[in-house]
Amino acid sequence: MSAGLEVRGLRVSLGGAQILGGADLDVAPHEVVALLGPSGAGKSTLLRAIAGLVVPASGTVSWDGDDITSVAPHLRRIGLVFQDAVLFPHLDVAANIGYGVHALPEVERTARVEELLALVDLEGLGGRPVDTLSGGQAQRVALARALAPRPRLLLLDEPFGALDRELRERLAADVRDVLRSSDTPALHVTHDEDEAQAVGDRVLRLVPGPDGAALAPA
Amino acid sequence: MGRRLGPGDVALTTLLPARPSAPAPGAAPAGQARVQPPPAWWFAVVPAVFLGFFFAWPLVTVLARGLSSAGLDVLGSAPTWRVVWFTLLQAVLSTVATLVVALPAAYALHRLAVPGRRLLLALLTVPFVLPTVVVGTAFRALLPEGWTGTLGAIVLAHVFFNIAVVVRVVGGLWAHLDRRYEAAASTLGSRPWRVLRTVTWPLLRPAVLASAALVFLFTFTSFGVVLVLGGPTTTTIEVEIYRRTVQLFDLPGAATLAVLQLVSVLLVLVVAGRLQRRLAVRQRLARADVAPAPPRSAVDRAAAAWTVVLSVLAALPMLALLHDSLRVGERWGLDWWSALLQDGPSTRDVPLWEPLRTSLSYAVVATLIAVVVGGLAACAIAYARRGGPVLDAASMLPLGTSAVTLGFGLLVTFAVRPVDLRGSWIIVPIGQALVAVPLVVRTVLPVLRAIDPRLREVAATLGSSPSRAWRTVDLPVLGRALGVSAGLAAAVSLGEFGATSFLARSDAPTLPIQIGRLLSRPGEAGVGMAAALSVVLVGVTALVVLLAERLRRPGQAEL
Repeated sequence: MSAGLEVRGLRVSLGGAQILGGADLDVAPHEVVALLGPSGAGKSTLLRAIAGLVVPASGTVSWDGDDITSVAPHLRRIGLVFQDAVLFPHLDVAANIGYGVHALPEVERTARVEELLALVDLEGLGGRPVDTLSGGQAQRVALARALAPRPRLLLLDEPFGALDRELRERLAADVRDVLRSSDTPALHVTHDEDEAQAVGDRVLRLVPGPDGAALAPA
Repeated sequence: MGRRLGPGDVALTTLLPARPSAPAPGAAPAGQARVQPPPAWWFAVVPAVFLGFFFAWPLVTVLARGLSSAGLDVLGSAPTWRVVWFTLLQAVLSTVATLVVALPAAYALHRLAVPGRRLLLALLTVPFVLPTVVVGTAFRALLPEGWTGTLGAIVLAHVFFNIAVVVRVVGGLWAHLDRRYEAAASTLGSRPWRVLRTVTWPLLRPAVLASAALVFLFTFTSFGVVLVLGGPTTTTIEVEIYRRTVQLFDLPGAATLAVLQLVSVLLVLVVAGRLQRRLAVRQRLARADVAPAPPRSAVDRAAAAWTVVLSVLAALPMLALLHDSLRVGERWGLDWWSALLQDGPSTRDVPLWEPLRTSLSYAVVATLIAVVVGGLAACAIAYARRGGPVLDAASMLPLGTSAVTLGFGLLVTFAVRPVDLRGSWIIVPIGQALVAVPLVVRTVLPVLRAIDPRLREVAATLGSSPSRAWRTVDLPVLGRALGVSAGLAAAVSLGEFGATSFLARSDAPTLPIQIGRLLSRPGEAGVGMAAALSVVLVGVTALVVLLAERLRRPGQAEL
């Protein structure tokens, strides 16, 4: 039994094709792991399986030794930041960030949203419709939204893949600081070697194979 | 009213006038794009003249008559308001019931990997292309005797008829909803019910509203179904207009009701359009249909099971029709079918092929008119630099006008010199084309708007003149969309009952008119022959729609 995330022998098939062929992975508390791999290697699938959004063919996902493989996504307390933000288009910035903490009393919820807006450097933008945000701003809101319910693990799926290089580097440093200060362990997927080195305490590589991808130390 | 759209009609959700989406092409002053589509007015002339002459003029004529003092008396009588109240009541009930019944099916058929999905979708779509008279006839065949003339029978038939509208319109959007919105919500700790309520529903709401508005419109102006299934106290404004014109010769009263109906429909269109614009969410849609997932939860399985039940129920009225056409007294037989083929003692007993030939030749002419007028109108709207939305809304007006009003308007307008078309057959396909034009516009317009303007620029840099660029870029896309819309227009013409019942000559009935006549004949023979003729009409319509469906590019959006 180990603390944090433990993935063992995870196999995922989608539409008949084996995407992941037995992935093993650990993320310790307080640790940020960067995961490298070429496009189409199955990085997103691995994250979706850990979040519970796809059902694996075999293998286990555990947290602090408890098997959570068959736990529904909304009960896992594992956050996910998508490549292109996926902000709820019908809600404004503050409502997006507050979405996961709706159970809090209004005063506390507002305070939490303000706190996160400050954390991602977007003070004062709470009332903005999300389609008025720039790409970098949208990604920061997505990060704030994922952090708001205090997930025990944050998954980041190439969160800056769609942004230009300069912005990407700045945001990578910001994310690292944010994760540090909120003390959230994370699995950060990217195809950019430099970004992986910049954000990760440890870098792993997803290697495509004939029977689906597997993980190896970089 | 006898409108119906084809299965997978490209245009269903866009039936309400859309906001202009493409940047308005300008005359290319400095700094603006230089390569432009051809000027809109080239395309606008023919539709403007046609709609002005055969739609606006008759409508104004009806309006003018309705505002006479004799006509206004109608508004003071209690029976009139009972009709109005019943029209509203059955429309609201039909709309709500259709939504309740069809939304789970929309979900199951577009989000779940249900076995036999295509077959189920087809079964639920068939009722929508059925002529309304046939739907009415089928429900008379299906329901127990005492049900005819009740609110329940009318609502049931309307639900049956309109399930496809909700399944197609809402399902079309549901299939393309980016599932990551829902995934994001559940990683943020939301239970499935909260995901549905706070994410799926707001994103889906515009489509639900659009489909509800359509169902309301169809049922509020319902004619064929109510004429066959309704009774003295269960009648719609549309049927009352017909009754006053044909049976009571109360033209001013009919005209007043027609105005009342037109105003109500316009009001609904305006309110629904406003609401839709307010609810519209600029969301990212998945590019292709998202792969359906196998039903896992109890709710998923229940939705899938309900869809199967619904599809079986949807097949029942058709089976009842077939049953009635083969049931002679206490035995089975082809008596009604052979009676259809024979010359009868009176002019009412024309042999089967005469209304068939009449219907088919009217359908060819009506389709030609509708495709030419509607296609040109769609080009004019798509290329308009200014006033696009106004033209767009104007092209929708015939859909908002009751078919009976249209037929009536044509009748009273062209019954006098200098243009006396009453005795001419051409007035029938013209009336049917008017009903079909909005559907052609709705089918072609999104396709035209989706053309990437850079394609014309590429053509220009390759040395094409503007007219060659249009012929080589726009026309091929247009051709296919026109083919699809032709099938739709033909189906409308074949089943059209409201306008045709005014315009058809008594010695040349169309198939729906002949069915109506047979139904009004006392005795078992009338019902049996009407059922048999309905089967023929269903067959012909299905054939036309299937042919048009083949023209549709595989995977082309259903919206």
